[in-house]
Amino acid sequence: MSNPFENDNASYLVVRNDELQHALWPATLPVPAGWTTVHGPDSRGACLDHVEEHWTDMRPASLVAALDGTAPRD
Amino acid sequence: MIPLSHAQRRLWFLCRDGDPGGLHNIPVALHLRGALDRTALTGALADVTDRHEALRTVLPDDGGDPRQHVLEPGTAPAHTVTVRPAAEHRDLALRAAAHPFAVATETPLRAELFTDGAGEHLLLLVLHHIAGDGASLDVLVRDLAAAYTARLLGGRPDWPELPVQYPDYALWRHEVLGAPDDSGSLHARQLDRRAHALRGLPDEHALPTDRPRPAAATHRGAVVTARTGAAAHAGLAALARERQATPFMAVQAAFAALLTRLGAGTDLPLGCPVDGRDDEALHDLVGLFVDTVVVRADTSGDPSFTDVLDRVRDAALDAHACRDLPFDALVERLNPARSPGRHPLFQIAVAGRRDTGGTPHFPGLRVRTEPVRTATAKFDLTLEVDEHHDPATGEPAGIALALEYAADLFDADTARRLLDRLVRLADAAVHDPHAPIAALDLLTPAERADLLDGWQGAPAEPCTGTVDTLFAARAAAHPDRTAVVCGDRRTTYGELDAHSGRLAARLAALGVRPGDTVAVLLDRSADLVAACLGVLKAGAAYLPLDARAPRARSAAIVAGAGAAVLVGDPATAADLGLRHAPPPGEDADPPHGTAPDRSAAHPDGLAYLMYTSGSTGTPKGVAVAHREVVGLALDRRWRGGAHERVLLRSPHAFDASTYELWVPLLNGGLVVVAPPGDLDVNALADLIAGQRVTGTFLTATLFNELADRCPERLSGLREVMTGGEAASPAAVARVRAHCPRTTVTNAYGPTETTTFAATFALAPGQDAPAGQIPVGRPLDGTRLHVLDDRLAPVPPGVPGELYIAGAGLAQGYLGRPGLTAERFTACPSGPPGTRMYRTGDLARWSADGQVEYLGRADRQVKIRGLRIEPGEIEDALAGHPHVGRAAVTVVATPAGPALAGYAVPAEGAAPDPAALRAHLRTVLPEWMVPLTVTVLDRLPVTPNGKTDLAALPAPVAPAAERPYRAPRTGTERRLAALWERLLGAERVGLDDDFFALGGHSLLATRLLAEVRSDLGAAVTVRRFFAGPTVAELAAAADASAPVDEPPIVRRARRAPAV
Repeated sequence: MSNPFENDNASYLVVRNDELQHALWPATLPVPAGWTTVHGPDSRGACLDHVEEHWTDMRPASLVAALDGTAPRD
Repeated sequence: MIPLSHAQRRLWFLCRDGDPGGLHNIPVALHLRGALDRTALTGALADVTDRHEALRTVLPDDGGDPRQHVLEPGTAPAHTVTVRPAAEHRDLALRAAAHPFAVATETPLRAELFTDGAGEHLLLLVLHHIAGDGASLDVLVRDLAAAYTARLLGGRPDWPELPVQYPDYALWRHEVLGAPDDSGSLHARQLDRRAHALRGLPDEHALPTDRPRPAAATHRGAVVTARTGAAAHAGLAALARERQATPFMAVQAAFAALLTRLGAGTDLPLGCPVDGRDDEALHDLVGLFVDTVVVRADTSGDPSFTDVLDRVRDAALDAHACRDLPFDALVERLNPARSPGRHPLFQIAVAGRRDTGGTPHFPGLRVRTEPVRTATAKFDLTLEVDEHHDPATGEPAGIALALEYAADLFDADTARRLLDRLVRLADAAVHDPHAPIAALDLLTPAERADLLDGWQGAPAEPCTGTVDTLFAARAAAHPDRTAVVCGDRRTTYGELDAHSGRLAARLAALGVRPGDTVAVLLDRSADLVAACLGVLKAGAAYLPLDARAPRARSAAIVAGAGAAVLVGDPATAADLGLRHAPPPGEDADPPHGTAPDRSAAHPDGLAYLMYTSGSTGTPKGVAVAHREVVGLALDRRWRGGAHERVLLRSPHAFDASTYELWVPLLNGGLVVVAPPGDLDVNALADLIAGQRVTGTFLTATLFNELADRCPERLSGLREVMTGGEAASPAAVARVRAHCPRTTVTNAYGPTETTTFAATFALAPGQDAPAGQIPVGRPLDGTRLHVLDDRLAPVPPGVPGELYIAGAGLAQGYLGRPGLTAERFTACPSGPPGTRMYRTGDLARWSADGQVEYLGRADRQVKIRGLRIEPGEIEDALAGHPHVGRAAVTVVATPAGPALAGYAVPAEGAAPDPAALRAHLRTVLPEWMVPLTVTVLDRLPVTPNGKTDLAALPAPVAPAAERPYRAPRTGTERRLAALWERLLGAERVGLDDDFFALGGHSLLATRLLAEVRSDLGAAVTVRRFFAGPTVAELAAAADASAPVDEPPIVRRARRAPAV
């Protein structure tokens, strides 16, 4: 068995949920409910680069909102 | 001299050392009701034997070379009559069917009549496979019925003479095939073609088994049956037609697809018997015309069912095109690593069931054919396929499937489930033949409900606060209750609340704000407890530092975590460039700042950061929120009082401290602080007894050591948990035996899932599972998923990778978004938008819904092309009574990678490495026995208590295991010389181990053949494996009966040449 997240030759997506958490996702598999594709299909490395660049505040959005007293972003 | 046919020759070698359980017997039973004329039956049996030379042929051995020796007509088969009540007939027949033949001296047909002396009879015919095949039985029964009918009328059967006899066939086959070394011969051409088609074949399938493969197969077996619906049968037949294949090939394809889905890999050699009765002259003849071809099913590259069917069709056609080629020739050419534990080239077979010739007619008797099966299995698995058709319409009516399984490897339940899944897969494949086989649904709705719901954690209690606010509520409720005991010092909940509040104020004064991180480096003490709580009250996350870590590592961690303040000693703070906060117990000055109001604190704020080592060498900071810590602490599993007095013993930078601190403190219990530094086993046991500790967590290493040395000293505990590594069943059993009132729990969980994700508790009196201890079921709100590489749940019993979702998941790795996105991924089965953590652990669900840990996905190694899980060998090594703990790793040797074993003696024992290897050879296949076993005082451990495989010393060379002893007797000298020649070794001594000197099972077979011819001694392979030294082999050879030419009763009638 090969792990679908560990194939350097496969194509991946970057998906994001409402908490603005980012996750790597194999491009061949259906994206689970509650997640939106924000990058890809692309190489694994490029997807991870995208995550590094865009997921700058790793706190869940609802926490950030509560601390700031603002509503979470859509 | 009449040689054996190739297929006979192979069987002859297999049966030479005996034929356990009648492995190669083909029995058939005829239930006869009515007036049986026994004289006519005896006469008919003689007629049949006269007619078929194969039935009166013995196969004596001329110096290792067997030949066919046909006895003259008039040689009646062994024929017994047993008068017993009818109810016993079947059992008697089953037993008689298992009685082995000595093919060198005995004719290959036995007839046994069981009769009640009145009208109920069971006639058992047992034909040895060397003289016939399934179709031969039909011929035999048909001829027997004809002869009985004729005899009954006072005559003789009037059947046309057979055009040829079996010896003619054998000679003819040798002629047709030609010499293997003649490149133009049929033999050479087919061999080249097949050897090319099968090159690189895996030596062994990877299908998970219930038990490890024994060193030598016992061939005990049984069978389970199932049947596809008529619609699936029709669908497979239609698909087969569309792809120019046969329905049998469609079943083969479905079976191959299933095997892949169950973990057997994608390169699947399937053995298939083929009938060689091509010539009409052979149709009415009894004899062995079946040989075996290997159909190499390729399921790689995510194929659809139709793709697999096309590939199986091509592979089968190619194999059948070369069916003249003797199977043995192929084995010899491909030369796979041989083992008496498995069949060469394939271990899984698929056979079409022949059409039976209908019910025979015996005048005056009602006849019914009764299936009889010996309790044997030739291979690991054999699928028998029998298509049924509606007799009126000829429409498909369902495929009857029988799965014969080796009881060495599989349980009946496993075989049953496997066959049921084949039926499901066939349904799914027919429904959607173009879907990838990996996507075909193998789960029943009930299994899916179990996997996704029934076996998951109960819903978690709603989170009503943060760690510090819930503690404050406890302190307000019972301020005078003792919260912490450290030596003689007791701290109440009220005092702990006050101390931690002071630190929080101090931290605020130092500029710490909610969301910040504060490093903590203190010896184990009451102050450490107050420090962690104080950091939380300041709204910050605590970052425990490891006092034993090198300064550079601590500095990197502090920088990565963005901590600006250290609670600890001023020198360390200065050294790490941090502002210093004294521990609350030493803070003489009144605080200058005001701690934040925590009443509305968000539970998703971080509570702590725990750094673990990453595979790249950079430590990664696991960021855990209050919600997850509260979830762990308030899990229902802690209720009942077993965790009222919990020992704080783990290094603070290890996440077991989360349990040790917050489970007691958030439930109103007591933390018993162990003295600073490493505790030896005795000090630990004293502390548990002296402080009446009720619950504790011990790493597997420590637990095993305690189990070895003083298990009775854990008896005061209500519950002892062990984890961090696979639990040793032997250690668990020992502790339970000495502590009858203690619950022993296997706890599992990566740091990324807040200490524990699943537990398996063995309460007093509860039966321990056979084999390994499961990691059990998830904690409240936590979900465990064992998924395949499409992230779909695998059926129970099938290994997959373990993913953890729901309660307990960390927020991620602090400041490492890429790494977090890789490991914490989207969960396909949870509520929308939730995540799951990918553990990298292999696991499976047991049939009763417990998760079993199978090792790291990346620890699996390959030696000589065989997949090996070192953990399995470690278990076997630790199973020796003289071994306390064991580790197995791979080392490089001039001959390639090899396994190295390490053993720590059990208390008071002094194990001998050679004896340990001998023990392993009795429980593991030869290729899994480490080349070396090194005895160590202790195993090196990593900072968080796991065996440090990288730090194991270089293995002790096997030659040094025992001093050289020269051969003494003539037998020993001849054997030593023989070893030197076969192994290319010098100066072989009495105690040298054949396998340690590079011998393997193939060479062992050759060795024993030479022992047989040179010394005239017959030593079985099994005997040799039990003692593979010169001394032991010499003893076995001297004790064995001399090999004699077996006596032959009559002279052959047939002239030597035909």
